[in-house]
Amino acid sequence: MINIICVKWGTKYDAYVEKLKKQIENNCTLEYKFFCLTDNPRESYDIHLPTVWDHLYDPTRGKFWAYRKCYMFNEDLFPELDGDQFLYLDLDVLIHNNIDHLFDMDMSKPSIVRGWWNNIDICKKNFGKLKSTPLNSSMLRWERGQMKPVFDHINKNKEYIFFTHSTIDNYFNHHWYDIYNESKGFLKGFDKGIAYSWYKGNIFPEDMELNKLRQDHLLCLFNNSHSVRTGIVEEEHMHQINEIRNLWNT
Amino acid sequence: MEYLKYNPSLSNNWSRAQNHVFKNTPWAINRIVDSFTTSQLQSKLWLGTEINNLDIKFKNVMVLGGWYCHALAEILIGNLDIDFVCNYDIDPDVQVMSYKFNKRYKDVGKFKATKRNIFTGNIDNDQLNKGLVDLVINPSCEHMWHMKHIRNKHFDIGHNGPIYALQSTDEEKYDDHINCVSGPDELADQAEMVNVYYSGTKILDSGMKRFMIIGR
Repeated sequence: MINIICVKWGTKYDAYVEKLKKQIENNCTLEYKFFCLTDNPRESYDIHLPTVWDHLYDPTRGKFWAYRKCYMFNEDLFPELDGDQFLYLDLDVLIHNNIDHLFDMDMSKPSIVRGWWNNIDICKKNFGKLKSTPLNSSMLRWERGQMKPVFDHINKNKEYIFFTHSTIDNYFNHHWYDIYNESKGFLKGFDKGIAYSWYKGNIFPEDMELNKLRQDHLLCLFNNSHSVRTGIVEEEHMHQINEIRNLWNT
Repeated sequence: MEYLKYNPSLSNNWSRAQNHVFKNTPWAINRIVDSFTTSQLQSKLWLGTEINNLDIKFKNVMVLGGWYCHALAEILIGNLDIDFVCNYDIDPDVQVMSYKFNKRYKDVGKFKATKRNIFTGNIDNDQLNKGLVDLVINPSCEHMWHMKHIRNKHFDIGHNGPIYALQSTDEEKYDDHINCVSGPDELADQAEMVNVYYSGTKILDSGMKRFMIIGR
């Protein structure tokens, strides 16, 4: 059985869950179960998020803020997740095309979005400064048990990790990826042409136009929605973007 | 301590190391330049001076976050005659460059660089084989978690454990300064240091206020 998972906490993305569910229905012909791990379960697909790491998060520092996404790496915490194939999607994504082939790919390693829009030399330069990760966890694909070492590592070193790493993507880059030999790490990146970023571009340096739809790709990500557009201070929602609104509402 | 011993073997290693960076790792050029500022050397000479004032012959030294460790290795091995120095850093570039800057000491088994996160990982085996670590230096505590966690994870507490020489700052404008302190007292508190042998503050050439404590 295929499990397609999203995670939601707080209320900011309340409207996004059904949108994502609908997009998956439109773009997946395989048999699957949809789940939302949430702090406020209300729907039949909702699963209650654990809270055991909550006390480690310091909102004044904001480190490792998306830690709730990491509970799912221990599937045994959730009896509802009874299959072997897992796909995680952020709520703020736009699915352009059929996603069936994500469940027919080489799964010798778990996969994460490799942000091809990043200049890898900048990532190397800033590695020691704990910033500029080339990874993006808006989409993750793994088989049952494959991500358990990540969960265990976080659990074992949780105080250090919550103190040190600004984001979970930064954490992945430091502990589970190898930017010097990208075929060597525990995680592998999705190939070019799968995911691009609305706010950051597609592939460095040749295709970096921002705010551009690329509908031949699988997924459009809306990472960094709060800071990229000049003049926008507050976070931008997908329905506020003219080019996106109709596609998202389809 | 006012200077390094700038001799032909140091000159050879440092020029070759910089040549390697220009040719092979251009993304690191500015980082290398930053590592050679007046303030960087002031800070390391201050460290060397106060370690020397302890009048203890150290044999096996752990350097945490030592970056390229060019000046510091020369101070510790060249000036203070320390037997073995192991530099731990999380940056893969650092290991390669640190070796190149210190080839003269690496070749005779006095220096090792390791890409290793000592908060989550273990002490390097080569360092363990040299006997007890007697001095732990962290010249960049503002970049990492509290030092008490290193001590609690790896070392004995009290007189059986190593001496710690720690530097930090209150300069918060850099986003990689994740653990600034208000002064040497807070730095000592973070390390849960009981016996403080030295505590001081220095304004560096850059204007940055630097704190240092040495103790157990």
